[in-house]
Amino acid sequence: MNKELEEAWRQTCTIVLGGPLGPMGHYEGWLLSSTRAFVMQKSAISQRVFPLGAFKRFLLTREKVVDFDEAMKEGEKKLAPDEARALTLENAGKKLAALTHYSPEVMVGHNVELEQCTMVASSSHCYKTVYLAENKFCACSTWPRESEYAFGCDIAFSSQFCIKCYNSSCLKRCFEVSNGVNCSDCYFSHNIENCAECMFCFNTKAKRYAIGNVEYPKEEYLRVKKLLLAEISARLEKDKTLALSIYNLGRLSSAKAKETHEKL
Amino acid sequence: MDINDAWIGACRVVLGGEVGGLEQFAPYLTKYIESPVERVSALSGHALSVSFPSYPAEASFISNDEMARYNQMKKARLDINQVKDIDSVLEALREQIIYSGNIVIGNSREVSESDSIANSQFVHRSVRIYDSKYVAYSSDVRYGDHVFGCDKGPAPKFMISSTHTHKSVRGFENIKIIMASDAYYCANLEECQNCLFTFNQKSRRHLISNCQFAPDEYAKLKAKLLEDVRSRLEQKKSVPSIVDILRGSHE
Repeated sequence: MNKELEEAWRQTCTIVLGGPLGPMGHYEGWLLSSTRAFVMQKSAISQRVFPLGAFKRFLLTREKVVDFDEAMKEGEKKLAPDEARALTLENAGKKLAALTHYSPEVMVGHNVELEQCTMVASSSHCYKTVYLAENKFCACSTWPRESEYAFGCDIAFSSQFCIKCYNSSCLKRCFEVSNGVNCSDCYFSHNIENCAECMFCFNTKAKRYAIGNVEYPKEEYLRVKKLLLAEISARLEKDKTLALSIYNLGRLSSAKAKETHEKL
Repeated sequence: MDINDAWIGACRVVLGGEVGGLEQFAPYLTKYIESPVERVSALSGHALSVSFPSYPAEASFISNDEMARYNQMKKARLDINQVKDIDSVLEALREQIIYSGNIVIGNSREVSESDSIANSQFVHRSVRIYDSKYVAYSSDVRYGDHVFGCDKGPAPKFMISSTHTHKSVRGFENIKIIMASDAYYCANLEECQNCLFTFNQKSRRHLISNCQFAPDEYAKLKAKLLEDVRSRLEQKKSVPSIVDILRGSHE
């Protein structure tokens, strides 16, 4: 992994979580969870290994997948004209067997310093990211577009400094946000729009300094934010993962409630 | 024009004729697509669609159009001085942690049984559709127009049952075609036009199984193939897919 991307990770953690975590490699498994990732696939011809987007039509035909250069060579094969004229839906599978190795790899535009990425357009300094266009410093993500400093995201459009955000656009400095639009400095929130400095907010718009959809004085909010970010960072540094995610908040809080009830 | 009209129009454009109403092709079109997951609203009991497949079974949902009613519910006000850690916050907010389905935002209308839709019109049974119109049984499409049974499509137009069709128009049963048009049962094309059963080509036209044909003969062979496709779709509501062709099998 290149040093610039590692520095981007360090900066993003500092901005979003209040301090750096360790090397990004320690957190790959956590970052990739809850994203639609990719598999490492061997070329059917050369056995060269490359990432393959984990999408159904690709996965079901993975035994026919080759890398891009091999595919263009395969493209020199063809059926004789009379065989081509006789093709039908019934016989095509068998008659075309020698032609149907193909490459799912795409690289368009100007790309720099990409590692284990696939389906790429005009991006730089990205790592283990699938189906990306016009990004810088993204890792362990699926379909970031026009984003920078995005880690562990699945669909982050036009966003910056985000960690584990999903189905969102125009986010800045967010962590564990799903279905967010035009938000900044938000954490563990879902279906929010035009919100800033929010935690644990659901199904709401235009909130500021809010926890659970209730707004607080700025100083009180920032005090709680600092406390909670310190706890999150401590858990991540210790375990290199975080059990809590935007997708299981309800379950963990229920589990904790049950545990508390049983203790009582 | 509704989504069914759009389907009929797309079939005329792509397949050379109509094959029947959209709903009867749902099983065929959804075979290789991420479909919405059905959950139930905790407020109304109505069914709703969710795009993320792995919410815990016990997670609670509302429909996005019930947001106002959700926000009328009393929200816990924390005693800030009592907040010790995340668990104490989650304990206080437990009843409010309710996710939304049927999320449709921006300049969108005529969207049904779909989730995570933005700035799109006439969308049916799809997830993660952006800046598109006339899309059904599809996922992860942006700038699409008349798209059915497709996924991973940046800017596809009149595209049926295909994956990764970057800026391509008029296609059927394709995988990874980039800036291509009139491609049928193809994989890995770039800037190609008028290709059938063709693989791994760049800047070519009038190919069948990678073999060059004169335009008029190509047109006759294409018409014959499309007649077979239409006949099967009308009778069986399904045809062999590009996946079947690549795997050397067929239904």
